Amino acid sequence: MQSDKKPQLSEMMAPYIMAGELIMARVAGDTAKFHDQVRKAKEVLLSPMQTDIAVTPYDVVWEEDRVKLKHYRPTTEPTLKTPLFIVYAQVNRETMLDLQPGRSVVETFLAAGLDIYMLDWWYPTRKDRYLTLDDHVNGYIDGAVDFILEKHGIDQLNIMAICQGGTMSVMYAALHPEKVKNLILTVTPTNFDHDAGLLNVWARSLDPDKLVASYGNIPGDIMNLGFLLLNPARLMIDKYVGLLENIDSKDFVENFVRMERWIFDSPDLPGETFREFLQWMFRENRLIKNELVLGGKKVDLKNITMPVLNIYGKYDHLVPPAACDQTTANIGSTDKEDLCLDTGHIGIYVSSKMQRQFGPKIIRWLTERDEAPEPVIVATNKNAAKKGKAGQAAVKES
Amino acid sequence: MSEREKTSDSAQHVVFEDWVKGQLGAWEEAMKRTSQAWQAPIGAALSVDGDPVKGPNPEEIGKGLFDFFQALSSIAGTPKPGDFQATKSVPDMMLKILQPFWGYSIKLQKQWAEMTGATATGEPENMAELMKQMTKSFYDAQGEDFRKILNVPQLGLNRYYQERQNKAIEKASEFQSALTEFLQLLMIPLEKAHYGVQEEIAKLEKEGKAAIKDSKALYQLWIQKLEDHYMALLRSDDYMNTLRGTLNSLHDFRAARAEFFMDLLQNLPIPTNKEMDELYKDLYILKKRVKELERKVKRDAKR
Repeated sequence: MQSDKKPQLSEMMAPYIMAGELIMARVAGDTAKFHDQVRKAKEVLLSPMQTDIAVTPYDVVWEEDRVKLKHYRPTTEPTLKTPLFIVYAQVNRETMLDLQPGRSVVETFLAAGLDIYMLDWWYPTRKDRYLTLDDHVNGYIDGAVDFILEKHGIDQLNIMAICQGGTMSVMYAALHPEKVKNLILTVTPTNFDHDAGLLNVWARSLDPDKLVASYGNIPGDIMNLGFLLLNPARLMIDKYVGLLENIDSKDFVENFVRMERWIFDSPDLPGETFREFLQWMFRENRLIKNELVLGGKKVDLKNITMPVLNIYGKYDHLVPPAACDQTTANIGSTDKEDLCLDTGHIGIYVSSKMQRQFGPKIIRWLTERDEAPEPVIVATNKNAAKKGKAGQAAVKES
Repeated sequence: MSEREKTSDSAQHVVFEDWVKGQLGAWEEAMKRTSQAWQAPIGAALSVDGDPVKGPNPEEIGKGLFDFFQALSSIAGTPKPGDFQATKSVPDMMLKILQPFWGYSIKLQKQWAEMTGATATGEPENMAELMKQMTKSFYDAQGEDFRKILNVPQLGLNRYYQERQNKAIEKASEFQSALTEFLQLLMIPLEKAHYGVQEEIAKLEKEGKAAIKDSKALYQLWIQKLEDHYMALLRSDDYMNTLRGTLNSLHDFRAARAEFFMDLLQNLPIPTNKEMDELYKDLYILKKRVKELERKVKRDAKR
C-alpha cells in the first residue's frame, strides 16, 4: 500500500549520502589501517614519480600536414625482411602501444627484431575539419606506405592496425592489396549492425551533420565523455575508489597515472571524417556490405587476399566480438585466422597476461609468413571461416 | 523628491524589506533541513527523545520567495489611485511587451509555491524527481512567456543584432533545460541502487541470514546494482531521446552563440570562425589539387 507519509528532504538525499558513506567506508576500512594508508599515500604522492609514457626512442621519418610517421630505433638485428607498419585509431593516441617499459607492445616487437613504423595522427586543428575518410586512407596511409616501400626498396609491407585504424586499414587493403603482404587486425570493427555495444546503439541515433556543423572537429573531450558514460559506475566511481584503496602503493599509482595520461590525451576527430564514419559505418554498415566507395573506387572486401590475422577481445565493451567476427568470412583471403582473447579493448595491449600472449603471437604469425610466397589457393572451405567457431576459427589453406 | 517618487521609493522599500525577511526565513529553514538531513541520512530524523523531529514545513522555504512576489504583486497588481500615473503615457506596445514578463513572474511565483509545497505533499518521490519538477516548472513558464519576450519583433538599425542576441539567450536557456533533464536522468540509477541495496538487506533479514556488515561487501553490492541500473538506463528509449534532445539543443545553442559572437568580432580585427572555415575550405581544396598534380607528375615521369 502506498504510504501517505510525506517524503522528507533527508530521505531524498539518502541515496547520495549513502553513496558517499559506502565509498568512504570502502576506502577507509578500519581506522588504524586508514591512518597508516594516509601516511604512506603522502609519501607516495610527494615523492618523484615515473609516469612518462611512450619512452621508446624513435625518429619522425615522414610528415604530411599534421600526420607523422615514427620509425622506432631497432634494439637488435632485424629478423624479418618485411617492415611492420602500425596504424592506430584517430581516437586517443598510439602511445598506448608503448605505455611503459615492460608493458609495451613496441618494446616486445623491437626485442624480436621487427622493424617498426607507426603512424601518428597527431592533433587535428580546425583547418583539418574537411579531411575525409578518403583523405586519410588514400592520402595519409597510402603516403606513409609509399614512403616505407621506397625507403626499403620493396613492393609490400606488413600492416598491423588497431580499432578504427583497423577499419581504415581494411579499406586500404581492399583498395591497395598489392602493397600489403600481411594484415593484422586488432579490435577492428567492420560490422556495425548489432546492438552488442552501447556505442552502436547511441551512434545510430545521433545526428552527425548537427554535431559536425556545431563543432567543426569533434572534441576529444566530448568523445571521452561518451566513453565514460558507457559505464559510469565503473569508470567514474569504482575506478577511483580502486585508486584510493591502493594509494599507498607507488607502483599502482604510477601505473594508474600513466593510464589516465593516455586515456585523457584525446585528439579531436576531423569533422568530415567523423561524419562519414558515423553515417557510412554505424548507420549504414557499408563496409561489410561492400557498399563503401572511397575516392571514386568501390571498397570490395574480396580484394583482400593477403594473409589476415584478426584479434579481438571477448569482453571488449567498445568493439564487441559481434563487430569483429564477420571480417574473415567476408574477405577474399584463404590464409586467415580469428583469435578471440579473454580480455577487453585495452587489456589486449597493456595487461600483463596479454603481454605474454598478444605480442608473441603476432611475432610468430609474421615470422611464419615472412618468407612465404604468394598464397596459392588449394581449396575454399567457406564453412571453416564462418561465424560460430567460438571466435577461434583458424583457416589456413595455402 | 516628488510625491510620486516618494511613493515609489516607499513601495520599493516595502518590497525590499519583505523580500529580505522572507529570504532570511527561507534560508534559515533550508539550513535547518539540510542539517537534519545530514544528521539522519536514512529514514526520518529523530529527536533526542527518539520521537520523529517535526520536519520544517517546506512551504516555509518557499515563503520568502512567495512573500516577495506577493508584495510585488500587491503593488503592481492593485495599484492605488495615482500610484502609476506615468504608466498612462506608456505606449500600448510597451505594455504588450511587458505583459508576458509580468505573466511569467506571476506564473513562476505560483509554480515555486506549488513546487516547494509539493515536497511536503509527497509528489516528488526522490531528488531526481524533485529536480525534474523544478526544471519543468521553471522552463515551462519560460517556454510560454519568456520566449515571447525574446521573440518580440525587433525594429530599426539594431534589429538583426538584437534578434541574434535574443536567439542566443533563448537557445542557451533551452540547452540548460535539456542538460538539466539529462543530468537528472543520470541521477536515477543512484537512487535505484540505494533502494536496491536496502531491499537486498531486508531480504537477507527476512530469510534469517546474517546482514552484510563488511563495508567492502556492501560497497560491491551497491556498485554492482549501480552498474546494472546504469546499463538498463543507457539502453532505454528515454535516455536516447533525452540524449538526442540535449545534443540537438547544444547544437542550436552553439550555432546561435556563434552568430552572436560573429557580430561582436566584426568590430574587432579578429576573423570569425565562418571566415576561417571558408579559408580552410579553400586551402583544403587547393592542397588536394596540388597533391593530385604531384601524383600525376610522378606517374608521367615514370613513363
